[in-house]
Amino acid sequence: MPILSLQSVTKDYLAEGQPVRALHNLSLEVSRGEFVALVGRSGCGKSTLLSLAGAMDFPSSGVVLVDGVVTTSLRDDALARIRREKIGFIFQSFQLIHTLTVFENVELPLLLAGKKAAREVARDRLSWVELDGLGARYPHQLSGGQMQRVAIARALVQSPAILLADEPTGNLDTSTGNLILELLRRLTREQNTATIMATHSVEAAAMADVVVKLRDGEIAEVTRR
Amino acid sequence: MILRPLFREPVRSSLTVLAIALGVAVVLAIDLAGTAAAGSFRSSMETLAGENDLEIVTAGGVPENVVATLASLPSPLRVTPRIEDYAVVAETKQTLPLIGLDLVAQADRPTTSFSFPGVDDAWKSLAAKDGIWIGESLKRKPGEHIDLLINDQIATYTVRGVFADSNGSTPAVVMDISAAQHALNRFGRIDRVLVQVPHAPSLEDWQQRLRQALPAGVQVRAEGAGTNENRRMLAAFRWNLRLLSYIALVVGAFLIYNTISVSVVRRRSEIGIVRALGASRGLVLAAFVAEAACFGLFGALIAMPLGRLMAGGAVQMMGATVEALYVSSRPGVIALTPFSVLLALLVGVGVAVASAYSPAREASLCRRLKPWPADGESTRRECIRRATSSLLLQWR
Repeated sequence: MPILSLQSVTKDYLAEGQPVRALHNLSLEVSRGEFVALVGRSGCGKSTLLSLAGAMDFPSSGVVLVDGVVTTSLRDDALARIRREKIGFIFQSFQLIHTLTVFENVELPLLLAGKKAAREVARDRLSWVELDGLGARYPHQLSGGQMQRVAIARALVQSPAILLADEPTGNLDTSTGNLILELLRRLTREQNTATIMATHSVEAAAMADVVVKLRDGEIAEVTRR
Repeated sequence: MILRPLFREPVRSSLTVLAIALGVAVVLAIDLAGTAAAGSFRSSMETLAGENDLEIVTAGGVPENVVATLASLPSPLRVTPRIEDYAVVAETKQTLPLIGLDLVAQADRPTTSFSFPGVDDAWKSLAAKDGIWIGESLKRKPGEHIDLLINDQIATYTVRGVFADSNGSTPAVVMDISAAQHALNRFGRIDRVLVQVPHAPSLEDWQQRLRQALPAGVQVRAEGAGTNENRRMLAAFRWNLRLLSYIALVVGAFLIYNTISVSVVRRRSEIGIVRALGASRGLVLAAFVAEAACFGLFGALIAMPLGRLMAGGAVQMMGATVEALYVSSRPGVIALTPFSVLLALLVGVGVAVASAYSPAREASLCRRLKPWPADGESTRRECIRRATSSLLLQWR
C-alpha cells in the first residue's frame, strides 16, 4: 500500500480576488523507500503538492491519503497529529527557530508530541547527520549546510514515514548541496521513508528514484530509474 | 519559545511589563488606600454609645417626649438620647462628628468614657453652652479654647475634658444634649434614641413592645442599622474609585494587545514551523497566551511594592474625601495582605491574558501553516495584513 496517495486532486487559490488553479486533477502514489523528485518551473504546483501531501492544506477536490487515512475528513488536532507522527519537513531556508539551540530545535517535534527522553533521541538524530557535538549551538552559529543538516535531523526525529523537502539545496553551494542530497538518499534507504523533494535543480533530480515533472498543475512526465 | 524572545527584546518587554505594572499598581493602591481610609472605620457615633440593642429613629428627628415615654415604661431600659451632626475645626478645617449626649446620665454609667473633674464642675460645665469634650487624639487640654463651625456658624468652645479614642474610634466632639440642641438650633427633637434592653425576653419582643408604646411613625430597629447604611455608602464609594482605577489598566491592556499582535506578526514564520512540526491550534494559542501571562506576572510582581508606595499618597486624599463626604475616620495601616497579592496577580495576569487572547487566537487560526508561500498565493487579505504588520512594526 502506498504511504502517500493523491487521487484526482485539484487545488484552487484566490489570488488578488481571482481564482488560480495550482493543481489540476493530479494523481500520484509514493511508497516507502522511494525518493521522488518534483521538478518544474516556478508556480507549476510543486509547493502546493507538498502542502497537500503534508496535511497542511486541503484539496479543492479529490482525495489525499496519508498512510491510508483521508486527510480531508480530519479535524485540526488529528491533522496536527499526522504531521507530528507521520511527516517530516525540510525547507529551503532551513526554518530553524533561532531562539532555540540545535538540540532544542531537533527535539521540538518530540516535545510537541509530549514524548520523553527527547534529548537522547535528538542526540541520536544529530549523529545520523554527522553533527555530534554541535547540539549546544544556536542556528546563527552554524553554516548553511550545517543548518540544513539540523533541519534534516529535526525532520527525522519522529522517524516519519514521509519526508517532504522543499528545495533543500536551494540555499546551499553545489558541494554542500550534493552532500545533503546524498544524505537524504541514504536516509531514505536506511529509514525506509518516502522522500518527496521539490527542486529546480537537474542535479538534485538526478539523484531521485522517480522524477515527476509538473507543468501548469498537472503531471507532464514521470521518469523512474 | 516563550521566555527567550522576551529577553531578546529587553526594551520592548520592559515597557510592556512596566505598563502592566503601573496599571496594576494603581488598582492595588486604590484598593489598599480604600481599605486603610475606610476599612478601620468605626463610627464615633457608635463607639461612644456603649452597648445598645435597639435604636429609635424617625424622619425629621425623634420628638423629645419619646424619651420621656421610654423612661416611664415599667422596664429596666437604659435610654440614651443622641443628637448627631458634624463640626469643623475652624483652624484646621478638620471635620469631626458632633455628638450630643445626656452627659449626666453618661457620667453615672460605669461604661462611660467621659471623666469629669467633679460633680459640681460637671454641672457648671453642663450649664455652660460652650463646654465640649473631645477625643484625646486631637491633642487639646481641658481649659483650651477651640473655634468650631457648627450649623454654618463659628463659635468658640471650651474643652472641658478629653476621652480616650485610641481604641479605634474616631475623634469626635461631644456636647451635652441641650448644648448641642442650642448649637444646632434643633430644639424639641433629637436624632436617635439608643436603648439597652434586658436579655429576656428576646430582642424581637422588646422591639414589638417599644413599637406599641411609642407613637406611630417612630421606627424601632436593631442598633447599628445606620452604620450599615454608612458602610454600604462607603463600599459604593470604594467601588466607584476601583472602577476608575481600572482605566489605568486599559493602557497596559492596549500595550499587551499591541505587543502580542507584533509578536504574532514577527513570528508568523515560527508559527508556520511549529504547526508544520505538529503543534495544534490550541498549543499555538496557549503559547501566545502564556507569553502574555508572563508579562502580566512580571508586571504584577513589580506592581506590589509600587502599589504599596502609591497607596501612601492615595490614602490621604481618600481619607479626606471619606471624612468630608461620609464619616469621620482615621486611616488605618497600609499593608499588603494575601488578598492584595492575589488581587494584583489576578488583575495583572487576567488583563494580560484577556488582552492577548484576540491576537493569540488569530495566530492559532492562521491558515498559512506552511512556512513557505504556496504557488502564486497572495490574497488581498494577505496584502492588508502585511501592510498592517509593517505599520505596527514601524510604530514599535
